[in-house]
Amino acid sequence: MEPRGLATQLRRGAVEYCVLALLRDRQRYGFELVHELSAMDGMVTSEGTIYPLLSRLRREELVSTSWQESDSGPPRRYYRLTQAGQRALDEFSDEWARFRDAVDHFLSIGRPS
Amino acid sequence: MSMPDTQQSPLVADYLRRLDAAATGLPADRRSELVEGIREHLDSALEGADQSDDAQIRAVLDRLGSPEEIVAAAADGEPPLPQPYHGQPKAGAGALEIITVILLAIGGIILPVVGWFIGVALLWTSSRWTTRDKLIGTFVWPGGYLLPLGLGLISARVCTTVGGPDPVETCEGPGMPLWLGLPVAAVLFLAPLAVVGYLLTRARRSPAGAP
Repeated sequence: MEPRGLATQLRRGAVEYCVLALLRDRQRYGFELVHELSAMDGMVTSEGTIYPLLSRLRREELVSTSWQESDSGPPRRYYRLTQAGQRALDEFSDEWARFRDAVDHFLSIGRPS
Repeated sequence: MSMPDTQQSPLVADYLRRLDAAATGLPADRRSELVEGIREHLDSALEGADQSDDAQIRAVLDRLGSPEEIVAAAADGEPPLPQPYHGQPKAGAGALEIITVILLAIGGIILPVVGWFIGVALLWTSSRWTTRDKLIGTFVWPGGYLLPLGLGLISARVCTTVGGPDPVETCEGPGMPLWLGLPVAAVLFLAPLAVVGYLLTRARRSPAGAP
């Protein structure tokens, strides 16, 4: 079982922007989003926790949702990026690049190159 | 025994029931949104799967995480209960706080002057009061009842009345007239009392309460 430690701390706060990034090109439904996130190692430990996250993004109006028929079974809730979500994603992308470079800088100090 | 519906594995039905039960603390709309979202996820994940393939169903449920874990994530970031970020776990004025306040009020009399300073030291080392409380406790009425007592002794007015058909009153000491003396005495008496009341009130409030 994954400890609620370092990896959890790092994921927290970043996962929601990965969700927004997945919606940049098109709308997706919940299982699709979870499936994409889980495909990358280290991003999601408990898939179910993505759903409360999606609910929060919806309440913060960073995504909008709509019900659409599926080929099989009942209709699905689709998630789409809003303009506010787009802006939040752009801001995070810039901030993340600066943060990543800064951390990389310190981690590389004293390391044989 | 619960009756599984024809479409759903008993494992899935049980999982959704546990999730719904765990989510009772959430607002009703969020609770149903969460349960519906997970239900939809399971429909998609198990689409075309053999509903009697318990191993596969368990694997899907394991990846979801426990219902409790999911509900904890849903409650995360929300402040349903005030979080005690600082302060003591216990509430109310404890023995130490009461001793501190007593020393501030009459410590200087019990143990001349020094007693009050002990009270001040206890006040400033306590985490129960804020800095503002400590400043008020120290400087609004330094010395507590030591000052009124001292002033009372110094300014005691000794009067003697010589009897007779025409009594003559002679007084000694730097006394003050009654119209001034009464209010001054009232302030001297009430001010330390007010500080004591204030500090006890502040100590009694819950540490988790508003700052």
